[in-house]
Formats: sequence, structure tokens, C-alpha cells
Amino acid sequence: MLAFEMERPRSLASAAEILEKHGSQAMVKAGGTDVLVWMRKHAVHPEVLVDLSEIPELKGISFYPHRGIKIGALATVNETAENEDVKRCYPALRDACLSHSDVLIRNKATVLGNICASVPSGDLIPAFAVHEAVLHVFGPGGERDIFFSDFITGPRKNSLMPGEIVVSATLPFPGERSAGCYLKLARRNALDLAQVGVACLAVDGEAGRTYRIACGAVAPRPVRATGAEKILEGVTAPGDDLLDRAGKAAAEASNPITDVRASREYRLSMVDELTKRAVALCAERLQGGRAS
Amino acid sequence: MKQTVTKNGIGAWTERKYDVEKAAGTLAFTDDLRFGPELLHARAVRSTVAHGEILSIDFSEALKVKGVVKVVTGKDFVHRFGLYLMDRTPMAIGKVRYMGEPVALVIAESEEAAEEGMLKVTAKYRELPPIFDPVKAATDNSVLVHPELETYDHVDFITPFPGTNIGNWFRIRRGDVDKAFSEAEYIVEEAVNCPQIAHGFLEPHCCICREDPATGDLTIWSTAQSAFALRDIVSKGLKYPLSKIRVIAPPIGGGFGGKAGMTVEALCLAGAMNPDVRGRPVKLYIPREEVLLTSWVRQAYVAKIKLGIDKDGKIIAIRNTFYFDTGISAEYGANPVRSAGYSSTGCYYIPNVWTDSYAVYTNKPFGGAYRGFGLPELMGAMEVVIDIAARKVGMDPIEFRLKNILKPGLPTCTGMPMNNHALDTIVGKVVDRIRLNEKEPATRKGWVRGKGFALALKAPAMPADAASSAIVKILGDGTVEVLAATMDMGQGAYTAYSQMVSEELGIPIEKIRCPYPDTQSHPYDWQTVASRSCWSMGMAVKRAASDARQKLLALYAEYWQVEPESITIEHGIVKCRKKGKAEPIDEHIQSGFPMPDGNYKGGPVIGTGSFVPPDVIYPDAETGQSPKSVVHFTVGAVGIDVEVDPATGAVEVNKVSAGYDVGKAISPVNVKGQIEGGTVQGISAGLMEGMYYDEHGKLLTPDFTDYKIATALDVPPDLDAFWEETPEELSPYGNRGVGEHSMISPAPAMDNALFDALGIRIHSYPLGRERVYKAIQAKKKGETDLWEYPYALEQSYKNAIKEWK
Repeated sequence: MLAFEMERPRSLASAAEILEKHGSQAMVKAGGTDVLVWMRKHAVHPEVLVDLSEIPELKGISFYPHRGIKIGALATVNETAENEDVKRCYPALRDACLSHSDVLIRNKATVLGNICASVPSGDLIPAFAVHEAVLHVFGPGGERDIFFSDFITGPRKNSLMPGEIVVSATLPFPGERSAGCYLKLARRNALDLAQVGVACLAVDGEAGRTYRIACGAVAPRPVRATGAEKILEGVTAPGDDLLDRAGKAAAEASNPITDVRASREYRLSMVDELTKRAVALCAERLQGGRAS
Repeated sequence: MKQTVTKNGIGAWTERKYDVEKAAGTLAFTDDLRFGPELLHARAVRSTVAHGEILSIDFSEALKVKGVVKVVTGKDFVHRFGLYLMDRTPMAIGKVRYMGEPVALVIAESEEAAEEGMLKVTAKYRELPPIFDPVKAATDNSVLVHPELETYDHVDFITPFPGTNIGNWFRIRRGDVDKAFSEAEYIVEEAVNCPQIAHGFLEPHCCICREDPATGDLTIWSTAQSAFALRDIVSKGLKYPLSKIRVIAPPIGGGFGGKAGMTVEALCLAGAMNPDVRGRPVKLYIPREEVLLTSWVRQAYVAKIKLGIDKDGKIIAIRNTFYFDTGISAEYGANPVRSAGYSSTGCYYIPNVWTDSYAVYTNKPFGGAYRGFGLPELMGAMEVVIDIAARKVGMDPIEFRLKNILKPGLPTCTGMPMNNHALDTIVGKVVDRIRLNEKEPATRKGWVRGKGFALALKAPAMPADAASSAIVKILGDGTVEVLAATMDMGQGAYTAYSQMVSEELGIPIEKIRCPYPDTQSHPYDWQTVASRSCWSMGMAVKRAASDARQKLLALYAEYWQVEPESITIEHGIVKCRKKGKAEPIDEHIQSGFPMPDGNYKGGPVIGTGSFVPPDVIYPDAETGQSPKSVVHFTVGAVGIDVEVDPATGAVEVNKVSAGYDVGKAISPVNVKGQIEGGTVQGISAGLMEGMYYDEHGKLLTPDFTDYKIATALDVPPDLDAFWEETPEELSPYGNRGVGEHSMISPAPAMDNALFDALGIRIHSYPLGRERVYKAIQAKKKGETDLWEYPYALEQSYKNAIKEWK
């Protein structure tokens, strides 16, 4: 790895100051599990690495009943997976956390780091999409919120402005009767990037059953399979025909590439398959009257 | 009467040597060694084209980087190296032959400076057409990877063909195959292929070299499996005296053949021997991303096998054509090609044999030694073809195998009689343990289940004169030091040697130590490869320990004035019951015994032992025939029970049973470990491993982001490893090699299991999820076979949508 300097600010304000001073020469790092690998492979060349790990405002996970859960920028993937409120109300997020890399890396990697890396295969991305997360950002222009649907703009690209830091994200409370899951297909059972990942959230609200479906690793931006969601709307026990149609609709919403991990054709077939499975799983969980 | 008593001799379950240091993290590997501020760091600059003339290399900008000391290029270090065929230069000279080939070496005061300098070197090339497909390369000479092939030195038992891309052509001509095929009732002709695969050892290559400017003496610290072979190759390549080269091999973090012979050391020497650098140690640490571009991997292969079978199900003829894709170097890869060739009837007796086994040069990173050494390739194809043939003949695959099995005494394809073995017993156990004949329902909802079986066989593949020697020193406190230049890279050789010495000397294993190899202190051993160590070095260690014992007994006999035969060594205590003597071994053993006649006798007791296989004869170059082509064959069998998710192609292994005839398990804990580890490695290779390139020859799987090996979650929870013990005649304790064998046949057993589950035959490894899914879709369309040619995949990759618009 090439030589670089590291700053470890103790406050958000001081981090912003450093970022402003160094401009495009600086990059932020939380867990470092992506940035350091990219640096090693010469994919990025920061002269200054700003380590956020000592900034208290970025730590922790807080749950606000009926409103949602707030995940700090330094919350690790394991910390999130093991959080009791996440276990209770955000199973898609928990599944996504547990599918991410392996136990050791998850101890360092952060949930928001995975989001900010904005890599199409990021495991946390579909879960954030179905939960319609909101990112709270601090930067030279002050604080602002970004809807997750507006956040990722392309492979490794997002709408953060220079000098901005994601402080935390809120995932709104999905409702008392909801079920979620994240299904991932990869080349092996652990420590792999998703060939395809599908998150589903099913909610029984006042207006009846709604589904939210998001697909990862199959387009430059996260895919919300709104066509599939419409097909399923209101249906509490979708049959095979409906699942088939939903799967096809999700595949139609996807535009994967061929790379060494999988071909476009395989990915399309698997979006279809995993969508069917995810929807069926959520419907089954709600059928049992169990909110999970 | 046996004069020694120990609890941890041959066959005992013991603790393993060096496990404590490994668990504590205190064992120092090459990268852990410290050389102070004198140390320089080197980093390779690599070719960006697969085949091209080097027009210029500009390193002026690199020299401006603070800390960069020197940049050397290929023409500064013109030496050819190679174990069997000297076709390798550490850096490209005049021409690059694969993308990623080193073209220059930047030497700097720090790793960071070397890396920054590396990024600043630019090279210009005039591109030449590359060749990637080994079948095309072997049959069409339009692109020659090594036009200078005829000028390369090679050992006598390798037959390169100058003017072609064939680095070695091994042949078997036995009987009359044409006549037998014309008489056969059934003809089965099938092809199987597999891409290159990588060893995936945990510790990347690392080397430190230093030349003494006063004497020219070279010291090499390296992640080497075989300190002495490395010394030999360097000596021959540099035309340097052996005595002026010292190789120190610290513990290595996995090898699997990938650290045999000479790997990265010559590249490091190109820096350390440069006149501007000489005197300072130079360290070359190969980053993970560059490991597969720096030293060899397992060769890719395309195997075509044709069987002629009579009406009773007897195989009467075989015609094999094996194309091994050896990349740009066959220096080591020439020999697995030969090994597959001289084993090319597998575990079967077939009277008429025609085999052509080719090492074919292509413009890719190169192939070489990998656990199994030609046999996973051979058996990966043959055991699939045998399964196909059995079904065609209408016989149960097990019954078909047993009918044709190579029974002890029957000739192998080289004409050598097969050694004793208990393969039929092993087959019976494997069949029972995975209930091969029972169709069982899948345990996962919606999945399908299948079972598969394959036989395995392998001989140590080595030169006829691969020798070993050992020294056993009894120290002044009754402990023992064993100098045996085997590299214990996890296989447990030092534990096994300690057990041998304990057996021979009656000294407990805790008192026996085996230090890691150093050519300056250890006596010669050819290499730690070929599953030869417990056998060949075992002979030397046993002889050395017996020699030490005889010397010890003679000294005590005179000291106590008794017959040597009346003395025993029990748990480290020397006893003579007749005289009521019992003394622990003490300083007398190193300082001499005051004898009753008043004179001192003895001095340090040192046992020595040497061994070379006495009777191996190289196969005839034209026919491949030899009365004894190899020292012995170890045989075995694997059964696998799998389930497949038809909707995704995912495969889960329920159970594996694997058994081998090891002759004698010297160290059962290690035999078990080897069988389990190799089985997992074989499953991993069969299920997911492959190196892939784009159409320009760029490696797409350089590191573990995309080169996938099985994790603990991908391997079966139930792995039944067992062995039989039919003693080998010429052997220290009846033992045969077993280190590599378990890697050989899990892949074909898996392929056969998938056929059983899915009803379609997959002819291409690995059996990854996407490929299995494709096969399931093909079956729905009425296909019976799925064949995907790796080199066609590279071309189709060219047209794929790889980037979002």
C-alpha cells in the first residue's frame, strides 16, 4: 500500500474541517474494510485518510418506538445484526447483515460504510431500499437528510457532496404486523459478494397488505421492483401464478451485467427465483400471525 | 528382541509438532524475519499485454521516487531456470508472453517506495497475436510461445518438440489398440475439461536474498517447500557452486506444491545480485493479488478418452489424449503431464493402451506442481468416463469398476506389476458408508439428491534418483535433534519422523525435535513433494535413528561390560536388566564414556541415514514401458452424497466417505488430517474453483475476492476418512504416500453424484452453481450432456454486456 497520512478527529466539526482542508485528497474511513482494500489495489489514492472511529456522535443504534431505528455511522454490521430491536422489527436488515462477508470482517465493517461504498452488490443496500431509509448527513453546508432512493447514483457513486459525512440513517418503523427477509445468492455459502440479493418487506397496514421488493447486484443503482410490488398488493397469500408474475416483473426491472461472478442471464433467472422465494417467505411468516 | 520401548512410536496417536507455536502465533514465518535498516524491498512491474515485443521500458520517473534505489530489467539478469526444462526467466527478456509477467524490478528502501516506483515504470510493447487455447496451440503452430525451445536445456525424461508449442509429449504404446477397438462390443468416447486452479495457500510467497560482496556467497530465506531443489535450480541457472548457496526455509503457511522447486527466488536474486545492490538483503514479498501471476498454478486440461469394451464388460482398449495448458512455462508442469501419462489406465487393467499426454504452451500464467500432480486431472476425466461407460454397457458403475480393477500383480500401463493393495475392501466400505446403492429422498425441501463414486490412484512422481538423507543427533540430556530437510507445511512430517525416531530409539516424542530446513546444517533431500517424504525420507530417518541406536548400545555395552543385545532403551532410560542397570541418557552421550579400561570412548552420538530408490527405470520414450516406472502406487476411493437445488443450481454435500490403502499409518492423526484436508480441497476444486481470463488474457480472478475456495460452510459436516494397511515391501514401516491422494477424486465423484441427481452429464469443471443451473435448464430441453469449453467462454465473455451504459 502506498504511503498515506491518517487523521483521527474527535468531533464531527473537526472531521469536517479536515475534509474541507484536503478536499479531494481526503477520504473518510469507518471500518476500513472497503477503503483499505481499494487503496491496496490502487483503486483509490487518498493522501489523507480521515478515520471516523473516535467521533462519539457517530456511534450507536437507537430505537424510537413507532418511529424507527437510527443506526450510527460507526455501528458495525455485527452490532446491528445482534441489536434486539433489529432482530424484532427489521429482519431483512438482520438477514442482510448476517449474509455480509464473515464474522471477523463484520466486526469491523459498518452498515453505513456498506451503503456509502455504493457498490451494486452491497448486501445492506436492498434492505435500506425496502425500509425506505433516510440518511442524515453533516457537511460544509450544515445538516441535511437524503432519502435512500436518491442516495446511490451509480456503481460506487452517491449523492454526497464533497466534505459531507453520513452521520446516521433512520429506518422508519415498518408497522406492528410486518415481515421481512433478504435472500442472497453467491458462489459459496460464506464470505462472497452477492450475485443477486433480494430484500422483501411485507406490511399489513390499514389499507391492507403491501410489499416492498428491492434487488441488489443487478443494476447500476438499487432496483425497487415496483411492478412486482403492484402485482402483489393486497394479496396476503400469493399463489404460484402470482409469484411467477412478480418474479418476472422483478427480473424485468433488473439490468445486470456479465462479469466473472455471474452472467447476465443467470442473474436475471435468479432475480426471478429469489423474488418468488422472498415474497413467499414473508407471506408465510405473516400468515402465521407472527410479526417478524 | 525389540530393544526399545515407547508410547509414541509408529501408529500412535500423538500431539503434532509445532502446533503449540502455531496456536500461540509465535512461529516465525519468512515475512516475520527482521533484517534491520539494511533491508531493501523489491516490487515487480508487470506486463500489460499477453504477448508482445518489448519496445522500451522507461523507469526514469521511478528513480525520482524518494527511496527508490535501483530498477533492474530482464536484460540485466539473463539466466534461464527450471526444474525439468529451463524455459523460465525471472523477468521477460525482449518479449512478454503473458499479461502480468514481470518486466522490471523496482528496489527501494521501503515497501511503499518500491510500490510507488513500480507504478511509475512504463513499458511499450509491439503486440503479437496471443494464443490461449491449448488444443489450438498444440495443433496449429501459427503462434509460437517459445520459438527458442530447442535451445533450452532439459532432463532426459522430458521430450519437448521445438517448432511447436509442445513442452513435453509423453506416450504410452502398449498392445494393439486399433485391433482391440475393432473387436470391441462398445466404444465410449468422451471429453472432460477443467480450467487452471490455484493452490490458495494462506501465506503468499516471500523471499529475502543477500549476496556477500566479498565472497559472492548467496543466502536465500524463502517460503520454499524444498530448500535443496531450490538450491540446485539456482545453482544450475546461475552456474554457481552449490557450496556458495545457502537456503534457509522458515516454516511455510501452506504449499500444496505451489512452493516446490524454485518459485520467486530468481526474481529476488535479480535484485540482490545487482552490482549496485549487492551486499544488502533484498526482500520480495508477493502481494496476494500477484501470487497467481508470479508462480505456477495447476494446469488447465482438456482430456479425451476413448474406451473399447467387450461384451462381458471388460475394458480391452483405451486411447487417451490429454492437453495440459501449461501457460508460458513447462519447467515444472512438464512432469504432471508425464505423471498423468504413466498412470493413464487409472485403477484399471487395460491390455491395449495408447496415450498422448501433452504439455502445451499458451500465453497465460503458467502451470506446475499442485497436490495430486496430474492425477486429479487424469482421474477428474477418467472416473467420469468410466461412469458413463458403465451406464452405456448397462452395468452398475461399481460392478463395472470391480470387473476391470487393477488387481495386485497385473500390469499398469507402463507394464510394471501393480503392488499389493486392498482396493476391493475400500470400495466395499465406501459403498456401504454412503449407502451408494440406496436411493434416498432429499433432506431439503424441493431439492434432489444423488450419490457418486470415484477411484483414486497415484504414485510419487519424481526422478528415478530422488534421494533423501537424515541425521539423528542424541544430545547430552537425552533429547534428540532430527535433521531431515523435509518441509513440514502442515502435513505433519516432523511428527511422523519423531514417531519413527521414538520407535527406533525408545525416547519419548516430547524429547525429539525437528528443526526447519537449512541447507547449511541439514543433509540433502530432493524435495518435499510427491507424497514421498514419509517413505523416502522415512527410510533415511529410520536408518539414521537405527545407526544412532547401534552406536549408543555399543557404547553402553562396553561401559557396563554387557552384551549390546541385553540392553534396552525404555522411555528414554537405558536399561540392562541382567546387571540391574537403569540410567537416563546423560552427558556421556555427547562427551564420551569413561570406559573400564580408563580410556574415554564415544563422543557425540550421531546417526546418519541415506536412501535412494534402488530400482526405478525411466519409461521408454517411445512406448512408455518400464519394468518399474515408479516406486509404488497408493489407491483409494471416494463416495459423495449430494443434494442440488434445481431452482438455483446450488449444491450441498451431505456426506463424504474416503479411504486409501496407506500401507501403514505412521502418524494416524496426520493421516486423518491429510485425508480430510485433501477431500475438502478436492470438493472445493470440483465445486467452485477456476481461474478465468478475458479475451485479452487478463486474469479476472487474481485474488480471493473472485478466486473462491470452499469455506467451512461449504464442506460436508460428515466426512468419513479411513484407511487400510496393506504393507509396502520396500518401505520404512510398510507405509506408502498418502498426502496428495485425497485431493484426486472428490471432483469426479461429485460429477457422478450430480449425474445421479440430475440425469445430465456435466463435462466441464468446476461444478459451480451457475453451471449446474445451466445443466438443469439444458436437461429440460432434452439435452443429455453439458460441455462448456473454457476458451470459448473467454471468447463469449468478449461479447457479453460487462458494463452498464
